[in-house]
Amino acid sequence: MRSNSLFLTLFLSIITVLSTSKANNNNIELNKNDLTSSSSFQESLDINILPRDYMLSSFNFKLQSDDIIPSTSSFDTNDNLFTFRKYNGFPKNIEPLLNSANVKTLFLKFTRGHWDSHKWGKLPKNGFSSGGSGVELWSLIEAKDKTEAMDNWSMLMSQLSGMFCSSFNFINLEKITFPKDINSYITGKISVDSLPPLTNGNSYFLMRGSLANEPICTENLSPFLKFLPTKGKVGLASLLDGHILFDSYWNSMSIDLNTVCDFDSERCHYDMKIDINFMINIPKSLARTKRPTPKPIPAEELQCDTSKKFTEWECFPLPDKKEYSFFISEIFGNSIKDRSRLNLLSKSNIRVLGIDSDYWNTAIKVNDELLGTANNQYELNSEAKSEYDLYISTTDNSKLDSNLLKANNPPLHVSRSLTGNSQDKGGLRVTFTNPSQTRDVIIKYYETLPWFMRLYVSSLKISSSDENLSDSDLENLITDRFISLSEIRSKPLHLEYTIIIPKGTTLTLQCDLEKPLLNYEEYPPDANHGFEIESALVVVLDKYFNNKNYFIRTPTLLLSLATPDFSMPYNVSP
Amino acid sequence: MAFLDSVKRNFLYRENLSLRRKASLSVLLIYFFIGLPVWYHLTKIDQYELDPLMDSEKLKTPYLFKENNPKEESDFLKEINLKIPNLSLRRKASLSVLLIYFFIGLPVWYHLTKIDQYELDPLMDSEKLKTPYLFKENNPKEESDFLKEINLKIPVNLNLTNTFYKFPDLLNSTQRELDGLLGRYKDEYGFNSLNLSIELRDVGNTPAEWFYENNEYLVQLQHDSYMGNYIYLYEKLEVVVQYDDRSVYENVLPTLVANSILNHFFFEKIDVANEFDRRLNLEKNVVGLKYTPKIKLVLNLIINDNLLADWDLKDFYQSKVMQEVLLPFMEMFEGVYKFEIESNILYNEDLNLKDWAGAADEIDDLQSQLDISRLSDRAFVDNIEDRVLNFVVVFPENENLGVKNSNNSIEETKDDDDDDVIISSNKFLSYNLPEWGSVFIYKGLLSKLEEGKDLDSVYLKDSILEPLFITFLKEIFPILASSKKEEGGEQVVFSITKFIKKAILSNIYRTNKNIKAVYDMIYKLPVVTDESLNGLIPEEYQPYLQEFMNKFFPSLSIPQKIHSQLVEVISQRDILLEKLNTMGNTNDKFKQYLKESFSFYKLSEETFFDHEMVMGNYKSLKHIIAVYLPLLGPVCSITIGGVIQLLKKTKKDPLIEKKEEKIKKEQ
Repeated sequence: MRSNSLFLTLFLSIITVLSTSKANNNNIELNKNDLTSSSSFQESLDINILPRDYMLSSFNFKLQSDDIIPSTSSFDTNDNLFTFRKYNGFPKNIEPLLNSANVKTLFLKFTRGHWDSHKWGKLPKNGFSSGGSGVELWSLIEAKDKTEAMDNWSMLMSQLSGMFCSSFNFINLEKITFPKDINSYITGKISVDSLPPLTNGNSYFLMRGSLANEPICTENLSPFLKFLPTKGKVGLASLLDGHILFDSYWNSMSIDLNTVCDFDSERCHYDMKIDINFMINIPKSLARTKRPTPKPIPAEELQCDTSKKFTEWECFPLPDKKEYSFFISEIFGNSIKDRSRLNLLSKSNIRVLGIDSDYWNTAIKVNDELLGTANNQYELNSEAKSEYDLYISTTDNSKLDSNLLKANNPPLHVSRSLTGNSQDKGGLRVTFTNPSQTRDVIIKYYETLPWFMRLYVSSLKISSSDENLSDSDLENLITDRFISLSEIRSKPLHLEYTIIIPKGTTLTLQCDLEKPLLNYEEYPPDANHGFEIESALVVVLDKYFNNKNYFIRTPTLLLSLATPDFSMPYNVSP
Repeated sequence: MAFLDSVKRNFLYRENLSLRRKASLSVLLIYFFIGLPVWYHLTKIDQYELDPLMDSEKLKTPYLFKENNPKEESDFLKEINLKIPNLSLRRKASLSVLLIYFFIGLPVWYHLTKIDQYELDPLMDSEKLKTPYLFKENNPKEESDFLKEINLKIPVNLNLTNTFYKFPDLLNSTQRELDGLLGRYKDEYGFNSLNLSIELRDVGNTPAEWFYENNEYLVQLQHDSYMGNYIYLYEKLEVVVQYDDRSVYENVLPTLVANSILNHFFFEKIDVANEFDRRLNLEKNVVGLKYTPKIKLVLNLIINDNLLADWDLKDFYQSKVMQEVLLPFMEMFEGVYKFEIESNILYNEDLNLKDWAGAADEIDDLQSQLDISRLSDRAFVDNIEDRVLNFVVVFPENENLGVKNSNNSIEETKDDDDDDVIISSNKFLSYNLPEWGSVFIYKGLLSKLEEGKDLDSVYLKDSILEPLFITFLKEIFPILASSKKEEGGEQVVFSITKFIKKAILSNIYRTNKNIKAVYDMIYKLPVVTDESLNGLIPEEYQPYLQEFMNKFFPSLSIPQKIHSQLVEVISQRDILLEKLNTMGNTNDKFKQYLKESFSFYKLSEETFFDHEMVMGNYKSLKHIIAVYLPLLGPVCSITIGGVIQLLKKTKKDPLIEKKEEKIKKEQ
């Protein structure tokens, strides 16, 4: 009754509000104290200059949602007239996505290209944010048993496929693995204490799946930008352009999603980190901006080495110039359109790393004014809406920060290849090189191979570049083995080996494998192209790296199987 | 553990010793110690001692051992004492197999292979009687036919205490009058199908407030100098009948009260027809009504700028808009709907209105420009229980949008104060999308709100939100209560109580349709025969065959689950129909009936859309056994037979046994 009369008064009051609102004018106010939503957004850009004019750009975005009660069962209690959720700048489709499949943590990685660790050193973020070439997915799912976890996984995949315009739905039970030694892979990435409490009888399942060499292009970037409250229109994200990103030597886009609970307040929120990294070559990118179509350099601009043979018709070009200067807008094609104003406490940051300040200069351009700092770090904090651009110049491009270069050396090099050229047999060889002359490294070798690549685990042969190591020594280097054999058409082969790589040594593992004939329908449309085999994951577990594990992915493989003559049925004359 | 490790290392991974050498050695050993003895045993000639046997044979058949044998046949016959056996063992065995086949095999085979066709005929036969309109061949008036089958009893309370005169028989006479009028209306106007009966009750000592709070129908009598009546339909359901002395003297009060009840609470004039034509308001649009118990209110604040924003919904439980506008609104629908509120703030988004060059008055122009699809980024379609209504406040930062007043905008308010005045409600253009929600478009520019100062953040206070929300709720009320738009402002309680009853009827109607759909699926879908078999039948007989198949074989097998669900749905529906026709229903009970009706409607949906049955590939466990039985049978019979034979077989050869016995005797 009270409600009804209240409503009556409300309806009647419209007229009063509309006609007598003279005194009621403070409708919009600027008051920072009012903005106490617990959601937040932060962004930063690291530009890392590497030897031989390579430049790694790392965009990092952090989003936090408002408090959201996680489990629907407790949310929709029967005695409530209503339920309430709020999202301030946080994408609202994340919560139903995770809730419908009971997912607590999700790591999603889109990577394209091969990281050349000899040239570029360590991977950004110790390799955690990038996957093998293609797409890779890790997910912590709450379920009663493995079957339910699988069901949840397929539901998650079908939703992600739509959301990210990618073929996630092809990551089915033939490709999923359940990592055994969870701690090695997600240490520090998931805090067990902050996960929501389990429903009775349920447990957590960490699941991993990937699609090797899945094509990644502009339509995959759009959903990432859509998740950001800046929508790629303002702030650092306005620099991101699909053409530049996917034209790079190596690129990686990743999303880390975590459910974080505070047990005192019995409320949970989502943490989302979006990392976008890509590698370009500065002179080549600049040249490309200058000459979008590949034409030869005009004669008047040609710099010839006169110490070599030099005639009217012959010219040996001089090596690239040691000095150059550029604005990043020349490389990215855009300048930064205003800073992000969606966080009152944290401003957008840009850092230029890896350079020797004696030979390099950086400055930020705000409204045609150049401002520089000694530490090459910039905070975008102009009150008025402005356009920003970053200026970088060098007098000797070979002079880089030696300390950073040293720290950037990777702890391990890995390569993996297929051997043999027979159509029914072959081999798999993985080579680990420990470049350090002072310490051994312990690694986790995580391999997932499709069921149609029948590896004879028993035929494993270990060899080493160190001839002093005996057979038994070599055998003892593998300290722990976990093997889950493949099942035809239902389970991949899953290996997890813990291996010690002695200092300054190259260790090679080799196994024989058999290539079966598949059923007619199991061949892809381009069967003669071969089957893409996903990257193996190698985790360097070492206390020397501040207990931060370092993640490396081997290159993908292309397995060619005996292929039937698909045209045969059509060649039969009636 | 160490042993296991070594076994693993040496045999599973075989790195230590060459496996080939080990394997060869083990093969050799197996050959010598197992293979050779087995080979010897298997290949040795079975040379049993036959001499004693033959000696006794010579005595039994001497004619065969005779040197010259002229009368062999007669000699043989001499030795025979003929005794004809009853039946040969072979014939016995065959007979037993046959018997087993007939008495066990056939019933088992029949039981396993017969299609899981739960008997739906009795159920459907009774359904044909209950809902004949659905089973009619040509079906022109489905809705009115459906309503004819429904008996609805609604109580109306008459307050006879504290009246000017005492009316001891007014209740009964008015009830008689009501019954008579209801019958007459039905006959005369012909539009009404529902079997409505109104149960008049004496209020007794219950205070009028109780009826107001519980939204019950109440009739008050008021002595006056003239006859007439007036009604309250907004916050309570009350009709006040004014009577004078003359009306009491002429005994027209029962007619007056009955007419007031019917014409105000239950019947309304038909717009197009004659003034005297009346129609039951409960019958209007029952079929089109689609009740969903969950309502999702999505409240969006959209800012096409790089500004941190928030609104007064941020702390839900302290927000004035929530407490004073939304909460009372939701409380009115308590027991009818459950609400899910989602507050979203989106940045750098304009719903495609940024470059809208059109005049703000042009609704058609706006309709083509506005892109609401950007707000619905859910990957999955919501289930049948959900219904989404949207409230959108958008700041498109469009310079073309002047602050022109138009019919669509909220009325002009004047800003007298020069302080922090930034926005007033007149600067919003409101636009409603039927069944979707309301969009409020800000016509100014946030960036030009304050000269020389850049905005850092925007905060929408409740004073601006309140009128917008009230406009929004006025828009969605007719959707939620399935009423006319104008009723939202005048007849709130009346609309909701009416809606509850209509929603119950609609759920029953939809359930009936689903039951019929299951029936159609099972009995009306053509039975498809294997085409290769069709070739065996002459073409002219094929249509007859089709007819025959459809008549005798239902097209879908019915899992037990579907059958039991169907039984459950029908029984629940019948119980509810009974309840609707009983005395003493209250508004709270009707709310309960609404829940019940939706639950069986949902069950009927699940029954109809059972994935396996719809796909026609329902296969019970019995079928799987039946398929594998031919394979299982021979294998099992051989195995079991072999085992029995093995157990029965004596360990020693009978001849050897005999010989041993003989040797013993000799000793």
